[in-house]
Amino acid sequence: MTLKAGDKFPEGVKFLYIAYTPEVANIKACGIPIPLDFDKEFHDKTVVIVSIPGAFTPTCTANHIPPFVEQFEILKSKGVDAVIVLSANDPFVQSAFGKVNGVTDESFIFATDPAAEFSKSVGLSVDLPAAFGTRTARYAIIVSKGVVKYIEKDASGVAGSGVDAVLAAL
Amino acid sequence: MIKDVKTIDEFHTAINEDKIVVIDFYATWCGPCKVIAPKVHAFSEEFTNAEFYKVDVDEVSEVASEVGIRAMPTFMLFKAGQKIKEIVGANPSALKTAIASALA
Repeated sequence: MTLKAGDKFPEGVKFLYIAYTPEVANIKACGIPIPLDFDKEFHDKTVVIVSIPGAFTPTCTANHIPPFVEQFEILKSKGVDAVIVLSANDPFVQSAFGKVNGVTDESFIFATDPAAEFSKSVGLSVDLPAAFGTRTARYAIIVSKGVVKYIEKDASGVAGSGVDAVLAAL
Repeated sequence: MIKDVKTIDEFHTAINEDKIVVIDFYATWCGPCKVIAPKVHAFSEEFTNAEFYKVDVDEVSEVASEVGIRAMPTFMLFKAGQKIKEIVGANPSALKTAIASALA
């Protein structure tokens, strides 16, 4: 099944993430992965899902995610309630990636798509060589009140899944 | 002394006591939990009017998710089933203050 603009966002989607707290950041506490229930948290909100093949990999770190972090306020001013950065990396890696990107806002979430299951179910996973396995492809989805408003996948480089394209679509 | 909570029923019994109950949510792999453990033990000897329990979030994960544990250590103070205080992180002075004022 592939997803396109105008479709309802699938139900029952659950990701995993480690919630940011200042105590976790300054190592007075250890974060633990908890479920992110998409229906429960975002059924009436506008969310931008940005998916990357791998945290800390060159394109993702250099070109894809930092612009979203820099323009988070602008995204919010255009009605975005939350940004979810998604990858198949485990929640501990995603949490570290968030810290490295300097993100402390609880509505800018670095989450795991366990075994790229959600991404696979909508035709947005990619099989990479051995060290990586099945990963989530590079894509961006705008979901507003449970409906897909925008969905773009980039086979290489950052174009439709980048912040400029997402901002233009809001 | 600090008692182990092993099941969700034991947890409910513990927090419903009509005393100040201090619960330490920890994980065996979590550094900050190990750092603060001796202090929590000392508090349990000092504040004898409070009951001290600990919950291993991996062993008793239903309890951890019922109360919404996001990081360890998390300390929760209960009395008669009501949560009166929560402290996230290995912060001995905040914990001591919370216990002392709950008992006051």
